[in-house]
Amino acid sequence: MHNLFSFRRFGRLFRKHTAEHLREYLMGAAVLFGGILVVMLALSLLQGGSMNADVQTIFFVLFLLAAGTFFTSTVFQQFGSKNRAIAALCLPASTLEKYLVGWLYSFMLFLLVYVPVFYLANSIVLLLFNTTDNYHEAVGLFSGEHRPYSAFYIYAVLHAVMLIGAIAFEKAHFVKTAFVFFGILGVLTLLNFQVLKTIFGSELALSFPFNELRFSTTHSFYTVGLPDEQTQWVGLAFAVLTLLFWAAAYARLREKQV
Amino acid sequence: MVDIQNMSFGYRRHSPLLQNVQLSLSRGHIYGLLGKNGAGKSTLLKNMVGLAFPQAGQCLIDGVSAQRRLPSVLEEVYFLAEELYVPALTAAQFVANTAGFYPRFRQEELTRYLHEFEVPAHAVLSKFSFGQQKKFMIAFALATNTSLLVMDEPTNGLDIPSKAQFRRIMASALTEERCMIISTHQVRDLDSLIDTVVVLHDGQIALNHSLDQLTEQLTFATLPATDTTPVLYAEDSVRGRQAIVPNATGAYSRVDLELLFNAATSGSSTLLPFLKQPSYAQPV
Repeated sequence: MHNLFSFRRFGRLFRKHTAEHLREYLMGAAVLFGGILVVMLALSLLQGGSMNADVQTIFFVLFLLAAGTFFTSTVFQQFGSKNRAIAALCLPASTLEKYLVGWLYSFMLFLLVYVPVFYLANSIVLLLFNTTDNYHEAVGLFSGEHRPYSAFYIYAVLHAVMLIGAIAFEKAHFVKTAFVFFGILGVLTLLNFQVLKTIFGSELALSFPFNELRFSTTHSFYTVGLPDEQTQWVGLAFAVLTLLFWAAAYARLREKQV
Repeated sequence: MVDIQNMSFGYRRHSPLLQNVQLSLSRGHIYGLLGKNGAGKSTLLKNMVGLAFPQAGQCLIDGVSAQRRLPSVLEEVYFLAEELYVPALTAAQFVANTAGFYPRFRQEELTRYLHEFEVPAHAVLSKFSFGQQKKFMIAFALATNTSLLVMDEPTNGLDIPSKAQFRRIMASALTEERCMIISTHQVRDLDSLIDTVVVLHDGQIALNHSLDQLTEQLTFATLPATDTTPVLYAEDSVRGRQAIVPNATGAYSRVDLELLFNAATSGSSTLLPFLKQPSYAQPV
């Protein structure tokens, strides 16, 4: 058990990682804040007023996914280049501890930093552009109507995918992982569509995996989907997929060679 | 300490770089791993410490497979790669964040080695010259007091005075509990330092002998050009004919590592079979 995980060793590894990367992470957070601020300021300026909750939610989700996946793609950069990988792999800590430091930073700590950074930038923009005629509150993170928090689930899936890429590729992690991800997604969609077409005939509208399908006959147009009470199973499938990808990233790190 | 059993490895499946390598290394010795460029020295060392995984056979460190990279094993291994990575931290910060992983790390030893190497202890490592980075990492590696210390081309990038300092410090750091392996293609850098020579050639261990065994069995001599004494290996040089001959009298001669290396890698059909024979030399 001592060889698998030790809190003392994990704490030491976490401190080492922090000491070696804190400056670049703080700069990254500052750039993220600046980026969100500039984009939201520009849009508010263009539309001549503050943004409503719908638009704020869209930006919350887009910035979360873009910044989060990019950050995740860099979190295992110490295993990328040969000389850095040698130092990282030979460090007396278990693979699980090395993996968890990256996971913790790119998932939990990233979200803990991202949310306040976004809300700070959003609040500044609202403060500057809110008027009595055009007044909007900041969208609540757990708002039942807009549900910005649901982006965390999407982020978990993409994080797991990006984590595999961060370990599997030695450089240009983000671009290569995105390329492979969209490539596989495209092939899967095509195969899924062809299978559905053989079942439902040629009048099938383009359908995506894990989604409802639509097709028409001479007189009618049909939409086939899971009953509401079973849609949660799709969510569960994604949760299982996320766990599998996280496990695959760990396995990839265990097998990492220089 | 290190036990490599029938190990084969290649970066491509059908073109092995190392084939059926057998090697045992013990505590209390400094091994010099010699080989031509591209012979697979670094690859062998990486397999040894678990950075690369054998395609066949296994590499054990104290009976545990190196490729498992267990913390309990890694605590006893320090691998100094040829190309170093140092973070943008001061030497003191690096030590504060890294030394704790090595249970037998000794700060006073590090301070002494850094002083001998004339490396400042409070400057930012990434701002050091390559030679200074190398000296710092050599000093740190020695101060960890790991049982197994593996160095790949440690003298690359060191100036001439630093190479002499390196040999002195390395010799002083050897204990009965420690096994050191130094790989190099610059054989002169290992003069007066190593006690066992390991030559890697054609994907296999061509030679693995202690200097004591070699001096017992061989004589390294400069012969007149006209001398017709049968030799195991010879090279012409400006000083005459540099030769390796059987040590028939048991007299001591200093091992010429460069000549030995050339003999072991030249395909000489007499030297290596001769060394495999039992030694019958009589003491003087």
